[in-house]
Amino acid sequence: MSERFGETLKQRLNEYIGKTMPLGLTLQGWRYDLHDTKVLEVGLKNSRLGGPYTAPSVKRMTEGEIFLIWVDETGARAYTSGKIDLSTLESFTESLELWEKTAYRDEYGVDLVEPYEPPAVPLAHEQAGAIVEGAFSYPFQLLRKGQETLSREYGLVKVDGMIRITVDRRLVANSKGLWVTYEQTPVSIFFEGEDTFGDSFGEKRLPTEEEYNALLSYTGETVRQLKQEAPFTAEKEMYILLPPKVFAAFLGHYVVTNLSGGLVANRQSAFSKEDFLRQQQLFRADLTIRANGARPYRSSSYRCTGEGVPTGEVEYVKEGKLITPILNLKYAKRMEMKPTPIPVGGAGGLIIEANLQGGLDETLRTMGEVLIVHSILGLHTQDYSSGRFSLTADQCLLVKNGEVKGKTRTVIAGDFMGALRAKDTVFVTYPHEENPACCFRAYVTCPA
Amino acid sequence: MTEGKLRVDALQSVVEAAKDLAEQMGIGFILRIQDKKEAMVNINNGVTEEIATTSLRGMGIQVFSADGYSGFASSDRVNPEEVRTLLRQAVCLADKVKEVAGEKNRAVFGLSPHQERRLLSLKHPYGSLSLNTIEERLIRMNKELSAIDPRLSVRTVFRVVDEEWRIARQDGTDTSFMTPRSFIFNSFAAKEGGKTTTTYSNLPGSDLSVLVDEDNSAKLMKKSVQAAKLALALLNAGTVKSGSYKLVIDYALAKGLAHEAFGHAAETDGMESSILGLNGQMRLGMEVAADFLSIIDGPVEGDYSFQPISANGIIRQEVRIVDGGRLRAGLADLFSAADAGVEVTGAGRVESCHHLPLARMTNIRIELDDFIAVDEDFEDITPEKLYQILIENELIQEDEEVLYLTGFQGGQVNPAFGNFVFNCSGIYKLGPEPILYRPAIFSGGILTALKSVRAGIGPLKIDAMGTCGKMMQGVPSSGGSHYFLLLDRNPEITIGGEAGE
Repeated sequence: MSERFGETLKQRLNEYIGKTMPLGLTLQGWRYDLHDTKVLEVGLKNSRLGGPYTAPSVKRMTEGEIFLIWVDETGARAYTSGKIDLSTLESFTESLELWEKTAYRDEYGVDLVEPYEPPAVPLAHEQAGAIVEGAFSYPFQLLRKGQETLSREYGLVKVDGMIRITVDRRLVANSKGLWVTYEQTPVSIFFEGEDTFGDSFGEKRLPTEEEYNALLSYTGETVRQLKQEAPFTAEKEMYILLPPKVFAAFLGHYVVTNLSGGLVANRQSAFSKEDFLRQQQLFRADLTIRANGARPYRSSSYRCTGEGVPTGEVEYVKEGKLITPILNLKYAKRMEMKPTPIPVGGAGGLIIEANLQGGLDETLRTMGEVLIVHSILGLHTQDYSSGRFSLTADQCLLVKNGEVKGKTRTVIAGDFMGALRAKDTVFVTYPHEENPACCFRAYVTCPA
Repeated sequence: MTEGKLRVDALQSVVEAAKDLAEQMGIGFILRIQDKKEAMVNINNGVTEEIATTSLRGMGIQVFSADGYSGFASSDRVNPEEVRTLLRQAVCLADKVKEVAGEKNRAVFGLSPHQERRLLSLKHPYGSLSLNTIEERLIRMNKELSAIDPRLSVRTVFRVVDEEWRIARQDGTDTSFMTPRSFIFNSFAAKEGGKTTTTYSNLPGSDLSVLVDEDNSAKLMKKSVQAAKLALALLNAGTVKSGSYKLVIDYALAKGLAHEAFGHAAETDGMESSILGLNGQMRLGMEVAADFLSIIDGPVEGDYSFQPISANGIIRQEVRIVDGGRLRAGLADLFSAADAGVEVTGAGRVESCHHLPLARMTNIRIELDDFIAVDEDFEDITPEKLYQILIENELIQEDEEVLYLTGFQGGQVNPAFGNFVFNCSGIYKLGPEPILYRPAIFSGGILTALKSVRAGIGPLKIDAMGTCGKMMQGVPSSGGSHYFLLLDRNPEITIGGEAGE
């Protein structure tokens, strides 16, 4: 569908290249990023499959984004960005006239990339595609097995879960001749027990049996640990440990947001352009934060951005120094830097490297009193630019000298950016996770 | 208003195709057709960053077998042939649910049909102002705000949405309504000496009046100047010591309190695990607040989150969730009202036609029987004036430690455990010369938080806007309360700061 739709859209757009529209703008170039998706989703709520709130569903959509370059009678450029969908072709002339009306001047407006062939990253899993196209039994069986395992082996009474498999046929094209088309199959699986804790799998393929079992065992074991309350009163600074997915949520909110080229260029980020030009040492010297969109079947992988910038590896922070913001073509031009690949999926797609203290159990044994923060409430309400946080950690495990004492609920506060600079922050290898956990000192309040 | 034409009126053949095939197959269905147009303008430091338009036209159909098994299919192709295809796919999925002995729900077969139309007469509807004019006005405002201080960077986002829905069911229900909305949002980033702070101001509405009406412009400018000055002042603010305090919260935070602390827990689709439920039934009659306090949710015409009819085609009611301090009703949708032991109130909402409905709030507010009258506009009441009002009305003592939290920054709740949080833009320790502190999280327990509300100051103001993200579906939400609420110190309400500076 996307290629046929895309081909027709290309033809219609090319018909107007060089033609002047009613308001006096002449179409000079175009690009679009089109997704033709089919999604299968099956849910489990209160240990029951497929009720009215989680009814199994199939969703089909064709949508994308378009970018147009115009010139006026003086030769000055104007630009349009908009969304495209099936109705775009049904009423193409009206769409084009609307796009002319929404054209805007932009000192940093960009040109189109030259045609090329981006890296051929494998992103489509044949079996996943077959399930979306009609082999519906798989997600039902997987959810049922998950619920039974969590109930039987971990004693969970209430299990919620979801499986979503997508087939996305993507086409990125422009009027210079760029024509990149490929298929990808994002798969996400989620389980949660007793409204307490949940964990997820997300790649562009189905999970292996080992990965699926690890998801269940980590969910089940963590919920089991969180069932037992631990007496705890605190109003002090102490170590908190963020498991990799919670650490990624913090990185996404505080670091990825502040790395946004748009925010940096507009002075709305904690980092300035000069910080990058001078490669300021803002984090610990062993910390490197990078992304690599060229890894096969990874959730954060892709062949090119919607603008046509190729995927690849990029270091945003190297050995604690700021290297580059996340730059699309416009902000690369404005900041006179190179455009970068983007971390798809936020911080979940980042690769974190640091000097690792060791394994989780070993670290916990040596650190005295630690709170493992499995869930936080309110991260999205925090001021990303200040780097500071004040959050309720509603599902924490209190650990003393390596022994899990039980669950507690606390308020944690501190400076996350500061923690990534602090010498006493510890990065810890975490089971079944690519990225480490992060353990740092924060102010903890837990009333009696 | 019922007269007038909607774009979704033209899709009669789609509704009839669904009805005919469902009748042949002996199944129930809810068909949701959505037609949305949207324009967005983004201005950064006086320069246009982006002007974009989007549209969404699609439909989703949820089917129910005679024994109550459900499946759902959606598409952005809206025609009779496609609705038949979707219906068959959804039936196939419902059969799979039956195969695995999944959940059944036959509530859709017990409804009465209606053909309600709810159209709004908008003063300045979508398309009544050219995008160039919109852009010029926004740039002018953005530049004026940017000029307040060179340390400020100002981003302005404007959005106007023209949205129509048509919902049809197998029982003959065929209902249409509009959910128009708009807002102007300003963010202020202040930078100095390696420190950065960000604050926000906004003005919600239902059409281009947010941009055209002079009163609106003046109101937004007042709010924005306050937010800009707050961002600058926060650069040098300290942290408040964590703990429990006597508190004053503004109406936007009161909306957060109502929404996070109570609204979500009162939604019947989660009653099996909600702290307001017992064995799946809502604990009606339970005392949750003083007898002068009520919590009300319902659609308000002209409001940002207005939705008069539910996503299941049921007329949305105004619900007194808490009345006279006691739990009286739930936000109940079709599928869970009976199990929760309450009446259906038409609370089902969806983000788009590609989603399944959940029980949701629209405009939620806390109302007190009596309140301290205030003559001034909310925007004109500074922390100094607020302190004087509280002293004059003997609500606080001169030497009492009272924190005033201002500016809602969003919140989150776990209804199963009764924990909720919301955040503010800034905290003042009230006194003749209030002291500003950085924002800190407000966290509390659902069953005790409302009992701390002691007084209301000023008339009702219910235009605090937000986006509720329950189950990854974003829908507009709004609400409020009296200008300010005074909360007694409560050990279960914590302001989460640090050791204090």
